[in-house]
Amino acid sequence: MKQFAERMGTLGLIACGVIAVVVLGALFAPLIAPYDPTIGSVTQRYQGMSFEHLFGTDQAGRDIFSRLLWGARSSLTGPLIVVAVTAVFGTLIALTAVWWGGIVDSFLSRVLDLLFAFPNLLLAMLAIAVFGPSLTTAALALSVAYIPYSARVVRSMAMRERNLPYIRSPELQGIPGIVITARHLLPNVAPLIVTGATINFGFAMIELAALSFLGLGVQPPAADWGLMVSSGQQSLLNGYPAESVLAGLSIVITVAAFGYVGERLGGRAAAGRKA
Amino acid sequence: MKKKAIAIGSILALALTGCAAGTSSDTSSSVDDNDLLTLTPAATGELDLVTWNLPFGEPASLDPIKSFNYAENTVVANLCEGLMQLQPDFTIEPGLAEKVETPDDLTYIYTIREGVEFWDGQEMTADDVVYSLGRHLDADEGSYWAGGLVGNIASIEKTADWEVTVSLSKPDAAFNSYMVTPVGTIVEQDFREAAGDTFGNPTGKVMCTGPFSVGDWDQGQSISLIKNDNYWNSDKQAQTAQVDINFIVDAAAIATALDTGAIDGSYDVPLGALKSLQSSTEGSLYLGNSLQIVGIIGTGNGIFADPAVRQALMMATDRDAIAATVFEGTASASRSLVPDNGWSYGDAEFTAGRDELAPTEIDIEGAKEVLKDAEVDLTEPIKIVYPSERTYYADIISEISNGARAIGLTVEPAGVPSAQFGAFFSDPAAREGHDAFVTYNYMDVPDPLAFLRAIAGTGGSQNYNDYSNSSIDALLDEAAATADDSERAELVNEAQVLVMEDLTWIPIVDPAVRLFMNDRVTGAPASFVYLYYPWAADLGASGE
Repeated sequence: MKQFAERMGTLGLIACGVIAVVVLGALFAPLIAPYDPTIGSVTQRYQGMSFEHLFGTDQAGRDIFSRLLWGARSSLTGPLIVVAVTAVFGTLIALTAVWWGGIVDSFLSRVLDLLFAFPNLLLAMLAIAVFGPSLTTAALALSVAYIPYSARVVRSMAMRERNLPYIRSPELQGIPGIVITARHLLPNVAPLIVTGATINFGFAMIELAALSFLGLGVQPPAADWGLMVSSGQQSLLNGYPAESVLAGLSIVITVAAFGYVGERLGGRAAAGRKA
Repeated sequence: MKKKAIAIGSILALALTGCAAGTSSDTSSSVDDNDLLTLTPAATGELDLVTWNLPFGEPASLDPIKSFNYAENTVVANLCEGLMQLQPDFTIEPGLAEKVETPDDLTYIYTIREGVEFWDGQEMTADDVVYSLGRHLDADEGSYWAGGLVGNIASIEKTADWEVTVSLSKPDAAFNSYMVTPVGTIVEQDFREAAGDTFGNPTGKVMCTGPFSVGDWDQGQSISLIKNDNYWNSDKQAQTAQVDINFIVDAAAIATALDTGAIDGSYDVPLGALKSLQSSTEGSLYLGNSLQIVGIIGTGNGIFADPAVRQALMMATDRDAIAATVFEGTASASRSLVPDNGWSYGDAEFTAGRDELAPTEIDIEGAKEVLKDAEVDLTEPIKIVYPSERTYYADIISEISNGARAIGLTVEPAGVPSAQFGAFFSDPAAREGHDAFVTYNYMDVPDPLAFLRAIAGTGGSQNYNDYSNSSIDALLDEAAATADDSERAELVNEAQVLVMEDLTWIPIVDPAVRLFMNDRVTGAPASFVYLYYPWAADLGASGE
């Protein structure tokens, strides 16, 4: 723990704290949130900060604090789906390519090149146009777009590991490739996968927020930070910036926290390998 | 490092508290219809250039028969004219026809105005009139106005050099009023035929007689209207040499452009921009008499198909609150599906008829009573669709949901992109699986007969749930065959009562016209006449 704290540094620990607060807020939203995030009355719109409404109310009279807490759920769930799918399939593709090499590697690399050619958001929008707007559709479409990034990084690392003695030796002993990959190769590239996933989490959060902002992700009246930035625009013009700005800040702070932690984990992984 | 962390923490704390410090001063109430304007101060001088904005975006076409919505009609109204012309006070006066005679209730004889020239100098003739009216009956032309009122036309004939006679299949007292709309709009036959498929688009444009001709059409950006120096009506010559109409749709961009003077004026100022424009020192926000209504249209699906559910939902919805808050006090709660003051005849009768309808106040207990008559499974949710980009619809549906919850119903809002939402008005397949959808609608002409026929008459052009009530049809048919204005208004009132019982649509609010002009310009009419009246011709210098 002490070693972890040293590696993270003060800012890293603050970032971890921010992530912990956001995750706990999302997990315990039903217990913490004082109001239903989807219910409000326009007669209660634009209330200022008070003990009754900690961050005031939005243009539909809904409690902004409750919506931020509940919004953390979808804002974290989406990126979680993206990094989970990306990590699993990206790693699978990368390790398959590295292990077999040759034509298999060339083929998979070209497929990844093809996926790289599609802008992430465009791919997501295409999927949404076909399957309809929802968080799941947006997250899965974005996952497909993120796989090449993850696969490329893991492949380059695994490629280097592939020729090291601890992999070559069991291979010469006739141990099946799948076993060597699972027992030796995967654990050694795992820190890189975790680091990539942590950084991608932030990127995915921004892009999913953008899709919600455009009305293509989470649908109203559900609470979601990207959606709140969007729906708060009218309030912003009318002189009530709380909804948009607080949701925007939540995204920025959380993304920055994940990015910083990811960076520190990356450094730690690299340091670990050197050791 | 610690100092850095503290500094960042402090900035965040300040940002959070500062941002959340806005407090509501929302004490606005519904607009009083008596306060709504018809005109703005008249122009005192001419201008070289006025920059306007179309918040509904770029017109798809300038061909009058393809003009069926805000964006197209707001532009075309300045270019092409009808046989009759709607006035800012909602009266109807002769336009390209000098007069109309009705020897019987099936025949309309239009005396065509002589000496009117199209922009290219060619004189308008009775042949152009017969051709233009006939385009609506030609399936190859693809008129958006085909069917309905147009479908009742039996023949269009040139009966003298300057006379065109229109015969109807059955009496329709509202027919002549539609001569202010694209149904009665005249284009040059030779030009139309030569333009082929390009007619109305940025390449082919149009050839009409209005106070402005079409200048540059910079796609995606703007259309320029150029003053027609040879306009036939010298009393109505345009007072501005060029009016550039931009297509900015983003509320924030519109607010900024208006407040900084980059744009001189705009109708339909977005609700999101109202607050900042109300306090603008650069110009004035005018609220005008309107023919518009915001409502919820049933699709005939789900429990919303039950009239008792619709009636109960209307009674439980705080429509006054919606008018006061969502519309920032620029609307009034709808007492009827016919917008208030939406008539050009029978004022006493229509006013009295409206007063007899149920008040708009929220009535939860009454709604619960009405709901007892429902014959559907009330545990089923009511799925209401709205265009997700327009957040005020979400607020309206949120308030409807509150009412629904209070009487034991559930409303499920479903946002769809605007591009997809348009299909709800034209494609029955798009409405499948949804119970209702929102609408920001308007009367084409100030005639409740025509509007009720469209929304509640069997086969009406805006009757989206195939509603049919023989009593309503009979009353509307009888009204259409009644020449006397007062008698006709009484019959329409009777139909209105039945329509308000069955509620093919749920009326929510009657929004006022929201017009902003900076201090440099003035003169544009404040009332909801800009779809069929050359409003830009009245624009000129304010003298300030």
